[in-house]
Amino acid sequence: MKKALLLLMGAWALLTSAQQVTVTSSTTLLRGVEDAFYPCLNSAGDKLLYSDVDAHGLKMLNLTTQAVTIISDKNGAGFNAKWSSDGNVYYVTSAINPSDRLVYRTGMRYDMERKMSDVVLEAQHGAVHLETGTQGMAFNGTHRTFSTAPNRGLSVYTTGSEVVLNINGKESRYTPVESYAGYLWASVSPKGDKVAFFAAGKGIIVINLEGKVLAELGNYEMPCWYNNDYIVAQNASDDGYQFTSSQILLLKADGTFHHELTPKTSMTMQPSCGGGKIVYTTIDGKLTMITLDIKE
Amino acid sequence: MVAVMATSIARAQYMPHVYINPGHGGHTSNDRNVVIYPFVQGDTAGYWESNSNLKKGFALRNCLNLKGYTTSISRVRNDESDDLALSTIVALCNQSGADIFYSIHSNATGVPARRNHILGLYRGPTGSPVVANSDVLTLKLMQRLQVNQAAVWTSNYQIAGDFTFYPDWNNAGLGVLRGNNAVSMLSEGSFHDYIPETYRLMNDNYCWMEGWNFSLGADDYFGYQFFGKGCVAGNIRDNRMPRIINDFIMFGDDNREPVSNATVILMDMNDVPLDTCYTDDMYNGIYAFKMLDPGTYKIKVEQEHYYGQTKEVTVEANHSSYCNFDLARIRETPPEVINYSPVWNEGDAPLKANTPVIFEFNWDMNTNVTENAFHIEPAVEGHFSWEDSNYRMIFEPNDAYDINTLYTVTLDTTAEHGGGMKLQEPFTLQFKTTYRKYLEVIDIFPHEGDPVHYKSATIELRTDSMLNNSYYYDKILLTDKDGNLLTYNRRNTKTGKNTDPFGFIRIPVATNMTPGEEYTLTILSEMSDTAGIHLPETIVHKFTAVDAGEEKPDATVIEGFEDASTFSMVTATANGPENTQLSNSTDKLFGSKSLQIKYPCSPQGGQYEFTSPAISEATIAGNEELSLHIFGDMSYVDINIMLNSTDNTDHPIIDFGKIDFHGWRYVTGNGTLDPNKTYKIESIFIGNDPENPIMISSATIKLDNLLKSQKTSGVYGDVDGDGIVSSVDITALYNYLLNGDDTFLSTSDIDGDGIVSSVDITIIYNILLGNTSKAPETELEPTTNTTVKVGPVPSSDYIVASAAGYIQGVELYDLNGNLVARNGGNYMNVEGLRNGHYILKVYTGDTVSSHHVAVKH
Repeated sequence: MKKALLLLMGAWALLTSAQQVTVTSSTTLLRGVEDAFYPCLNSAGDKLLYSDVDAHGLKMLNLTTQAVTIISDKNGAGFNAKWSSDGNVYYVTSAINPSDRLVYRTGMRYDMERKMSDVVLEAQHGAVHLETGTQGMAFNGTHRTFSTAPNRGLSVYTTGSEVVLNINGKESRYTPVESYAGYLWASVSPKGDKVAFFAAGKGIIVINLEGKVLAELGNYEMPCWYNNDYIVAQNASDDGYQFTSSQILLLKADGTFHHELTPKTSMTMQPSCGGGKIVYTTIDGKLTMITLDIKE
Repeated sequence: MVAVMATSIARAQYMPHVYINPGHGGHTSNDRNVVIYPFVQGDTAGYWESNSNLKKGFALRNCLNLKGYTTSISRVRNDESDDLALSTIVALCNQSGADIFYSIHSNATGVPARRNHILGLYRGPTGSPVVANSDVLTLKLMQRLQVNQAAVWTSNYQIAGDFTFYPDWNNAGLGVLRGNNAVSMLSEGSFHDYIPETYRLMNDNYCWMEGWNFSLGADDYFGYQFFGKGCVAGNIRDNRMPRIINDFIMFGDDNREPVSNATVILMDMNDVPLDTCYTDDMYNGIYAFKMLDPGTYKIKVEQEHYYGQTKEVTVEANHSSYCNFDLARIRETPPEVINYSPVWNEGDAPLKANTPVIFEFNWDMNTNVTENAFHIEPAVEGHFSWEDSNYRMIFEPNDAYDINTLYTVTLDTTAEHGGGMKLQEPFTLQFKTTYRKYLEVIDIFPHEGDPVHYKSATIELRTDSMLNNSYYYDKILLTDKDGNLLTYNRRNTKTGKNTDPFGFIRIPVATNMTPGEEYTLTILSEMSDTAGIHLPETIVHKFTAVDAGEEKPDATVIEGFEDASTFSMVTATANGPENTQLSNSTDKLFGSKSLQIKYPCSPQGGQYEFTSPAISEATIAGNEELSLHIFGDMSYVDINIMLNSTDNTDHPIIDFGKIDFHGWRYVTGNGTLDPNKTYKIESIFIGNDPENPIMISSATIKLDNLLKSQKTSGVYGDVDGDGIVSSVDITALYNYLLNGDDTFLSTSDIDGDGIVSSVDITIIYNILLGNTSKAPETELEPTTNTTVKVGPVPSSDYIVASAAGYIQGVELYDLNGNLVARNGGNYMNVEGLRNGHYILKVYTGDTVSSHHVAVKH
């Protein structure tokens, strides 16, 4: 049995070492002139949302024409903006109410055809979670909600230490791993069979649609699906006050392989994936788009 | 604790959500550990910033929840997995829907200086927060934290935007505020490397009070005044006993001992106990009563070694009240001297002349009164210090005692302890001092005004006895013109051994200096030998960094010393041939190598002369001078070059002086050549003089490029040849006149009258005062001294002087300026003298000329 195990381990080693990742292109976006943060590629990889360092405002870069469209100049708009399955952009803005000094959050939709934003969820106090699905989207607020359709196909978001999974209108809540501080950055794989999310204190977790843990990929942040088998993530460290290193990693979703796409000293961060492309920024907002060739 | 219920809370329509981030975590490298007794480095039970931040965070969460706020907290444990990345904390805060965000930290100076104040930071430039109101939130909190009177603050709170506060971060700002959508701030609540504060931060109640004050800051920000509860806390200290924590800096009341293990009782105004708490044993004296109804209370403090004390305190709703106690120790017996020093009896060996007088008492003493009760005969000026919380009094003389003197010390009965009881009987001791008073300096390098090669410099102190090898780095200070300390290569420091005839410390300087800039070597008077005898005063030497390898475009290289195999011995005394070694060294100024000479310094004196084909073939015109690049080791050996005129009538010695320096130096030789003659070099001479103390047993010097060049007239009055006339030139003259230091002999006779006298000093003073910037050309002309001829050099029997006029007599001096012999004629018999170099003074009429001569048997 021991001998068989050793053989198996040897085969595993050959398998993992056989993978070869090549960066086939690397392009500086926005000519390196405008600082850009919180990039978010659409699924086709031809449009990119971005914001400023503090997530104030939201802009859209057409990667084909290089045209930039201003979507919002509101606070918080860039922090968690999402592309919806209908091609529109949904985002949350925040503002302080002068009378009680509380922060109120508003759900917004940018209509790509009309080229303008509308309020779809009136301002409310408390958290507003944005949920995007294969057939629609929703804002889940503390006091009120908004959804484009009751059945949003397959969608996911996190709240506290729960992954909230909606499959054809049926909601399931999972806590697959312990994390007191909470979960973040949940997304469904392109083929819709897996969910990746981040659990504070644990790192990136991959589960199936029943909430079963498939892999724990390490204590990295901001996972996004490069394709159905690979995830791109941020690996940052700090001294408690400021970042001391940050890099972009390529991780195999089953946990068998990881590859450094950028060095630790590059201070690259906030990756986003779509259409076979990866976009990331740097500590000072220099956007780069790369493409990969992965040989299994 | 008084139990309270939050029944009276009148909630707003929506209560705020507060995200709490207790900073750091995990006791890892990005955590902050301060080592305090009794903990060792890395002990997680000791002080870690993550521990106190978490305690404050829990307290804040509990207070806010009690008030009706909702909260999130980024960690509830203190392990590595809980130490979340900055971007994760920001994302969690944003996802939580927080209205405000508190990041809880404490501060450290990162340098030896200590302070204790509060700092609040928000994102953006100062005055322009990225998230509106963040500066207001910060201000509200700072005001609440500042009222903490259990701490000692060195200044008022400080508020800044992180872009302004961290200008070198290029507006990246604090990671937990970057992208944070809540009204947010980071608090550095105090300085955890200020040791009294470190101990306070070990106290749960102290951290709780900060968390409570955070909650009051949130109330103030949102305008809430509905909670209806208050708290009281304070610090309990000894009313007079000083606090000693090694050499740590302390401010204000922190200079008194905190009282540990005190019982603190909260009572109503009818003395009915309501609650009890205790100060811990972590040297902080902190107590607190939490969540009290507004009103007036009594607080009673008890501790077995102190008289109890009760105070009234008023508690206000939504406020922190502070009530500190200064307790008086119970001292029921009179003071006694239980130990003393020195213990000396008639017949004992005398004591060193700076022995302190130490009294140890059974109680902490009233310092002023007890110092007045101290008497010493014969009277000595001195100063007192107190240790061990005033249990130990130390008297140290300001200067050393007189030598060979019997001293009597009396402590009279006016001495009293902290409780006011007096000494019952006078206490007397006696001691006798030894013959030695001060540590004597033999030599210091750099000397005042020395040119020192800027690279890989070495400093050295030589004394008459073995130096105390402890803590000398803080007593030998090398600073640049701005007062910045240069660093030492401590690992390669050399110190004297018991077998050495003198004490020394030789320290390589790690920092390269800047050529042309002035540096200062300061040796503090506290520098002492192994017996504790210190210097009589602090020594300050100013010197200038130079590049000894600077190119000399007008000079011709005679010998580059690149190949040691080309050198051969010309002559040597008995100790020389066998033991002197010539080899090449890669430590050089020019080319690829220098010539290294290892020469044994015999107590009987000795010499070694050598040459090379390049040296032998060179010719030196009478109007030329020779220069050498010498790497010195402070061995005090002599370096000369022996010349012979081509007509074999003149044998001048070009003197490069004694090697009284470390490192490379460009030295121009002193010697008188006949401008009408041409010379050949016979040899390079290295030797040591038996008349001089042997400084080190073996010299290792290096030579690089030997140059010849036209003799320059130089700057009038520039005795040391550095191109300027300064006080250094006056010092050089004084040194010659008083000590016979002939380093600058050839340039010391400024007025050209053939003698070095006070007239030459006066001339330099006049130049410095601007009276004479340049002397008349005629005064630079050689006068009578060039008409005096002296030879042969070296000589084994007679040295004869000849001149155009009558020679009254000759005097021979050693190189220390000591008169060796005198003769009324024109000659000096040197048959009975030891080998070495001397100065022959020739008196002709009303003039005197000086000539460097050598004796060689």
